[in-house]
Amino acid sequence: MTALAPLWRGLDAALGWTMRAVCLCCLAGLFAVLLGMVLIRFLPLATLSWSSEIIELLFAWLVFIGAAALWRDNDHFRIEALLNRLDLTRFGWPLRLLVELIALGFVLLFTYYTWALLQRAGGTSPILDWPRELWYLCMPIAGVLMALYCLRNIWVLVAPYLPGRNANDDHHSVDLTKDRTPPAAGPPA
Amino acid sequence: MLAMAITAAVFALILLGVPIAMTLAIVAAATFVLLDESRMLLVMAQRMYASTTGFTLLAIPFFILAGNLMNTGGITHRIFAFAQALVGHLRGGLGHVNVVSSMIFSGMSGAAVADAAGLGLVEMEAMTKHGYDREFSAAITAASSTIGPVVPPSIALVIYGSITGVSISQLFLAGFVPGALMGIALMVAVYVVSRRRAYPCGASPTLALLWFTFRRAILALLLPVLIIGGILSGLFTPTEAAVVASLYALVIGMVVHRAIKPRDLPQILWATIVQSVKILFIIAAAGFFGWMMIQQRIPEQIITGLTELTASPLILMAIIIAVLIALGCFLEGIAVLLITIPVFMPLIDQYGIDPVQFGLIMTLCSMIGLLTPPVGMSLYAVSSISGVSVGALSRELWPYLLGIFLVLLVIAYVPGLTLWLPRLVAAGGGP
Repeated sequence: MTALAPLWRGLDAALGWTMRAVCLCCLAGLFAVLLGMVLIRFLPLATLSWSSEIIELLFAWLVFIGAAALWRDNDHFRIEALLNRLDLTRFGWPLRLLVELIALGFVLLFTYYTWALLQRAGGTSPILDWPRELWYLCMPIAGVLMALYCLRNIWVLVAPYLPGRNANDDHHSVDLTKDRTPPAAGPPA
Repeated sequence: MLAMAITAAVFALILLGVPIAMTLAIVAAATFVLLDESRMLLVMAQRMYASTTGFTLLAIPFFILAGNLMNTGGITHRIFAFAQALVGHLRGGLGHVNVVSSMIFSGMSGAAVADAAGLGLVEMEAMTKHGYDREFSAAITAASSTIGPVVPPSIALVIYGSITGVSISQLFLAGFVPGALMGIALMVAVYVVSRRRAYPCGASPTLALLWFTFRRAILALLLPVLIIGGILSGLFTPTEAAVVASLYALVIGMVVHRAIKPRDLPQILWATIVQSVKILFIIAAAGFFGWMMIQQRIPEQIITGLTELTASPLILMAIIIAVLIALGCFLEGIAVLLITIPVFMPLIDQYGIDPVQFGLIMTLCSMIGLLTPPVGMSLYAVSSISGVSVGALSRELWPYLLGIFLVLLVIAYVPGLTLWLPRLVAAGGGP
């Protein structure tokens, strides 16, 4: 697996860049459309009848792809007081693993049901006539990305203790996260 | 019984370190699975999508963007200088300046942490330079940052309004008096602490200095007028007002003050996205959680329990405040709002409590939560900026927390104070 680390780093960088770019474009787009709505009110030469559909689309992609980007950076609101305190004890490692497994369980559930919603969404939007799936697609994509990063976090916790590896090995050999994940204490001796 | 099990599960997962948004969604999903109602999970995606794509909630990223642009655009320094000229001559001068700066800044940004991390940095640097204790500077910075979400525009009030359907314009108007009272309470606390510690008074300002700092800050001072005036006059919705505020801050920062360069924009926008999505993803999960609570009739069970306990709205209010403050100690402020709104709204309806007044009470309670360990976001933000430990900061915060708590009691038990401005404007044909 160590040989795959550079490949993963490349993929991770590309995903991180793409998620940021999507979110930045969505925010900039929302800013432009909303500003257009205000200006058009004073210049009643044109209408932005499609604005509500575009706003919903951009907002949904901003929130869900943004949530995946924050997941990559372990940046969602969470209370780590107990985790940090237990990190120096034998309970720290299993607790972190448990949290990651719970998160992975939820993310898989989320991906499955958001995909189910996507399958059921039929028809097109009333004004733009775009497929309705486009609005919901951001959720399963975010789910897959979050699942990927859950697996990364689990790998970072578990890898040093797999057979054939020394738990005291230099962590750089398995650090796929470039120091983004919280420091993990070892499992019970 | 179910309500208690759900509460316990939420607390357990949050304390274990599971992200708050995920905790809410997991508990809601697990409740349906354990009650053999797995078919309800199909609604999860729908509820999460619908809860977070409402037009009103779009105000959140843009009020945050306006705050970030002002922090970067040199506006905070000018506000601080103006506040210093106004109240810097009082005993404990820079403590008062800190409070007044936050009151002015809160008219532009609706987030406490934006105030603590942006303006707070300027405030603490100035106070340290003038010889104030770091603990005192950090404590008053953290306390004054909580004025932001009470004085309009307020992200907490936008969330409350978007969930309950209460007019956001009315909520914004109702925030003025509590915000002013918070400012006064904090200034009284600063004065008392400063007298005990013999902090210095600044020099009295000259009229020329007042005029000079006012002129330099005038563009910043006009922004709250633009936001509130635009909303009240019907020119903009709150969401559009947030966008206009962002544009205004961008123009001031880039064109007038020339403090923001085009290359700074991606960083400012990304910081905005991070701060906004943290809140919006919790709102998405809370949409599903709240729906589960209603499906399981939990608010009804709580109403029945409480109505058997007391028929007095005054005692009910005391219970609600105690619950909100206790929850605020362990949960993030927005999460407290999102979890408790579906429970408390039917209750206050039954007891005849005004929903506008209640919105302010909930916001004030969550502000107290921002300052109390173990989960006070402002506490941690200021602690990391100032280098003062959370423990030392918490000890230093007590006089200011007491002041905010007294304001909360006044707001809770004298509804006329909060409601007179919305009523006055409504009587004049306003929103």
